[in-house]
Amino acid sequence: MTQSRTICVVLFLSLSIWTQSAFAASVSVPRSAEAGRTITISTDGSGVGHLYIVGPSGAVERTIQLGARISIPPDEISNAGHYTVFLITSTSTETADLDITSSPEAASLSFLARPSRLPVSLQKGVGGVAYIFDAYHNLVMQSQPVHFQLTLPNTAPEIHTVDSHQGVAWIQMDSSARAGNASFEAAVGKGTSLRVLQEVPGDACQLRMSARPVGDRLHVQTAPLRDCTGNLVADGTIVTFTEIYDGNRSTVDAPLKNGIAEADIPANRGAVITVAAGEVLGNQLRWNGGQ
Amino acid sequence: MNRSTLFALFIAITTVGLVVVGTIWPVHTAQAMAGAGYSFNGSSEPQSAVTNLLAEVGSHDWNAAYESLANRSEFSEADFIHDLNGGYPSLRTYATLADFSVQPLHVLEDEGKFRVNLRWSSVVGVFQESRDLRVAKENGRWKVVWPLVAEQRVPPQVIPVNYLRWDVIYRGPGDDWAAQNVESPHVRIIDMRPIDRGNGVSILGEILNEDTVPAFVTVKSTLIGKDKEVLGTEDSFDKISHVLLPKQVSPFRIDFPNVALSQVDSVKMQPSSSLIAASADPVIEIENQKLSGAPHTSLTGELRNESGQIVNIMHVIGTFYDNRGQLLWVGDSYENRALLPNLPAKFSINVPVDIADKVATFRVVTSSYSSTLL
Repeated sequence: MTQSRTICVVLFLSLSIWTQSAFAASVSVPRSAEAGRTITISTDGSGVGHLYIVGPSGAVERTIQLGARISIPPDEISNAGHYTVFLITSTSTETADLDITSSPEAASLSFLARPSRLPVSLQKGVGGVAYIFDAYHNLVMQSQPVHFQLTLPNTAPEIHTVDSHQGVAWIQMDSSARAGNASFEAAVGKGTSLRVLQEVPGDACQLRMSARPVGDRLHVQTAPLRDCTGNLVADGTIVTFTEIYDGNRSTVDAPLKNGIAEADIPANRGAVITVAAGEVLGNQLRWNGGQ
Repeated sequence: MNRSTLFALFIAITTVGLVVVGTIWPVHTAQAMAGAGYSFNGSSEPQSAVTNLLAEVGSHDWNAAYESLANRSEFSEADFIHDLNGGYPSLRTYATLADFSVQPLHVLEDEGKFRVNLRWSSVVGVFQESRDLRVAKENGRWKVVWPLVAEQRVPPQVIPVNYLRWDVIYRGPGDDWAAQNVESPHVRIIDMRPIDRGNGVSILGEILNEDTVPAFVTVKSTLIGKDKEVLGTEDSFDKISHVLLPKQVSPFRIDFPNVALSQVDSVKMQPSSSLIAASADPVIEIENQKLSGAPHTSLTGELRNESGQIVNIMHVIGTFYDNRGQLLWVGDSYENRALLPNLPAKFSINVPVDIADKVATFRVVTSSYSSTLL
């Protein structure tokens, strides 16, 4: 696309050589310039000429007085890349190369954090990749210190600083032993980006229940259910209470709330009641009428 | 006469012929459903009284049906409608009487008894109902004495519930490209077995939500033939509990009609899951689960809604295992009446005859649908 546009521009300019009258001219441009800086282009000769700057994402056109200095403001050429400068007069076409580089000053970043949900105490389970951009959304190629911070509520944040390489910085971190919503932040220069990672408890480690009569029913309830690192097992986890009595079975799938699952089941004297959560089996009760 | 004219003539003659046959020898129930023999004042024949009543029920002509009853002074028309249509929104509310049969049990000079089998058509299939109706002769006309089964009502009250609910904030269109979306729940098929059912292949299995968030799950299956050709692709449709809370397991069954297991070389399973805003409410207790014996083996029990929410549609899915713990069958049933808080309702899941004697254990799960929009 850029190539064909360049060819069109060159053809157009070649034609214009025959229609304009001027003296031979030359153009002088800096070999490279930072995005965000004013670019000054010098020409010599006299008469009128046309200046074209053709780059990766567009072209700039000026009708100029030869011999004058031309300033191109930062917002006209801000995308990093290779540009070609054409100076067209009635008698000649001069070209020059110009490289626009990204500013070394980081202004923003795009932050990829994976996964959005992971178990606690998982080694190198948290991954973060930061892409660093200058104020004109050019990837900052110069090395920059990027600060990664993983914070769980009421805990000291885990902070690491990583130097970027070719505009990218990345890190792998362990998930913490405590469950909760962790803030995962990447910061560079004035740019920060925040992601939320859900660090979730593991499977139940030990399961115990108790029973008490409530009216003509039996209220069964688990003790607070924790994983092997002491976190309350995730809310909503299904706990199944099963009562076997006289060859009949009654079951209730009850969700955990704040680590506790509870349900009402028939109060049958002599019934055997068991409890399970996933693959974890709990204790067994034989209901003898509360005696 | 060209071929298309002949064909048009053939269709016209056949249509006229069928209309004549249908008029002269009408199907009994169709005749009744169409309103033939309709009478406000009872019928001259005892069976006609029953047929007329059911025809009026079928056409939702509640007023005429109620007016034709012999014992209408014992209950109101609303009670009668609730008995047949359900007092709370349920499958029954939107079902239509597709068909019925009337079987005389005994008929005397001024009274009789008939067994009626009603086939209701609903969005999830047909459900049947059988009732014994007594007819009595009043002033020379036969009228039905309706055996009203008063639907249970929940007294007005406030039932506090504090169950969990999950909501999801998804990635939005304005988010930076790097902003990750919330991950889909991790689900896993923990058991799968294809079986030959004579008229097709069924894929039985169980799927586990091994995540800590609720999941909406579906299972798709593709049968691959001996020459690596695709024999068919189906999904579990309603033979699964679609919403799984953390660590919950649902059975599933995928049916492939008209495929023999001997044709199948391999089976490709595709479980999928997505996050869903869900509630842990209601909790349903399944009481007194029992496998009845042959010849009509079925798994029966009672459902008890332990929360305060009225469940409009209740789906019960049973998984049957042999003595080695291998999957034998996955069956299901729908309750056609709403499940009210703490009022037990019976359920029954039929077990195929050829499988019944191999069943050693079973597991029952429920899924419920509640909506004020129903």
